[in-house]
Amino acid sequence: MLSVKNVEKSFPIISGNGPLLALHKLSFTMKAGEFTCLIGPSGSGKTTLINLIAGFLQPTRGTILLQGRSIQGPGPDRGVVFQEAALFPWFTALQNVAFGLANQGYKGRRAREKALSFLSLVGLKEYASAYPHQLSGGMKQRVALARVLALEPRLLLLDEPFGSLDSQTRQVLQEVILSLCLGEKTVLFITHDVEEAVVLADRILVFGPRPGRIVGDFQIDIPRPRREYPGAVETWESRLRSYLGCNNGDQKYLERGVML
Amino acid sequence: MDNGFWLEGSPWANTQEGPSQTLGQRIIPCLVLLAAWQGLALLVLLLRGISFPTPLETLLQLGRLLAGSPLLGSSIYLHLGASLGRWLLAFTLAALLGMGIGILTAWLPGLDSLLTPLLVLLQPVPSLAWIPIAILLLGLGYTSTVSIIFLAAFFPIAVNTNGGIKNVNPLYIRAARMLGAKNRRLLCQVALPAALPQILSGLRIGLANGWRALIAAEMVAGTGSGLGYAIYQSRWSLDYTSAFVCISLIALIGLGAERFIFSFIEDRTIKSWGITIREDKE
Repeated sequence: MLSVKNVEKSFPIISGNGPLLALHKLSFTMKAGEFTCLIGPSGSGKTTLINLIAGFLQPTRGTILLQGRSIQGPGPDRGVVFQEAALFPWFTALQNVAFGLANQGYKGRRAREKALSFLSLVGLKEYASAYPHQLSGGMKQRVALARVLALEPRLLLLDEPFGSLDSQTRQVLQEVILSLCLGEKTVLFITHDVEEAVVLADRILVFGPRPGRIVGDFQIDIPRPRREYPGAVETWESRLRSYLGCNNGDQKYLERGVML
Repeated sequence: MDNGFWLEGSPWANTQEGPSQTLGQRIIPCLVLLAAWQGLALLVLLLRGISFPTPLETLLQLGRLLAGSPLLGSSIYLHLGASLGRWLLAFTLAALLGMGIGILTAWLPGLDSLLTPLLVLLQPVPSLAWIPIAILLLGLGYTSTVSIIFLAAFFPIAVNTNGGIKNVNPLYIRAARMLGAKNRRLLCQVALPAALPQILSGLRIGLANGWRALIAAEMVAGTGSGLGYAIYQSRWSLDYTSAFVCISLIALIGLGAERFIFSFIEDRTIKSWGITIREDKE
């Protein structure tokens, strides 16, 4: 489905130390239908990776293939939900969802009906004519999710989508995303929150500190719904936490230890 | 250039969330202005022994002029109509061309590096400084007056449109491209609405600049009609009360244009979208 091979990304930075290396020889693959969470310290290049797969940035070296094709700029086959909702404030919730559909050639009533059905899917049918500034943070992220799901993307990229929400809203939205995506969509989900990753993911990739590279790859085998197995979740959580903790800083250990 | 007159006291100058003004808050500044005017008239009469038109005399003269009493040989409606006609024509041209150039330069990087330095260079030229150039090129009269107003309005509109589009939050552009938007929809449905606060701000400055330039151009460019012309001619006719009528009309029309046209547009666009208004750039 997705294959990332020896990808490197550096940014020209005016710091005197030359370019900043954000990603270093990054390689991994994702299977279709897999829900993958990416965790790692902040500044480790997680967002850079999403921006590369989304096509907002070009890799300095290496290749990213989606179903065997290299990525040429952004497109609706890779739906992105950003950290801040990035809804268009001049459109209503419905128009925000219909915008992408119109780009795909849906017109008039067909676009409206399809947009409305996706708004209902995220539970916001009643708010179709509300403007984004009238919606709460959680509602905005629901609209942001609806507008990419409506395009039926092959790959869903979520960049800490619930990072700024309170924990209750967060749990509700985790359920929403699981019910809509699990087994149906290929998902790459970035999070800071180890518990969130354990609750959501089939597989967790762990990023080491900058330059970003994968230092751990885990299949999470807890049955779903995972919140019904708090013990198992906690075990995984502390395992990942200590993993993140002991790996912070000690570069040599990382390179000898758990490189893939 | 100073835009204080046009922006002060307008609700847009403050934060959007502020409480709306009560009727008293709206009326008090007018009363203060009228009282100061009346006091000034009394003071001039006392100290210099010259009759200075009072608010009441001005109001009565306005009534007489509106009732058909001639001003410099023609009716006040002709002067008013002449001024408004020039203003609207020149502003419409400036708005269309200014937004057009602003959009093109912001959208096509090649054109931007070619034209924008020129716009930025010419923008600070005060509109009155264009008068000799306009007269040299176009002679006295209608065409040169309209060109002066046009130039006064064009630059702030073009520069603000250009800046507005170039400053669009890149996240919106990323999101739109991710959703599959290409050139035309990217421009019309994303970049333009996102830039609207600054475009409106440019239009508002252009409208006010044009109105001020109009009065000045009518004084100098020999139009033979218009409110500015009438004010200037009162030097010879000594009909200062009528000049005060014209000054009041100018103030009221300027205020009305901003209040009614722009508040109408803004209530229906950026205010209902909850977009905060950026600082005015000139």
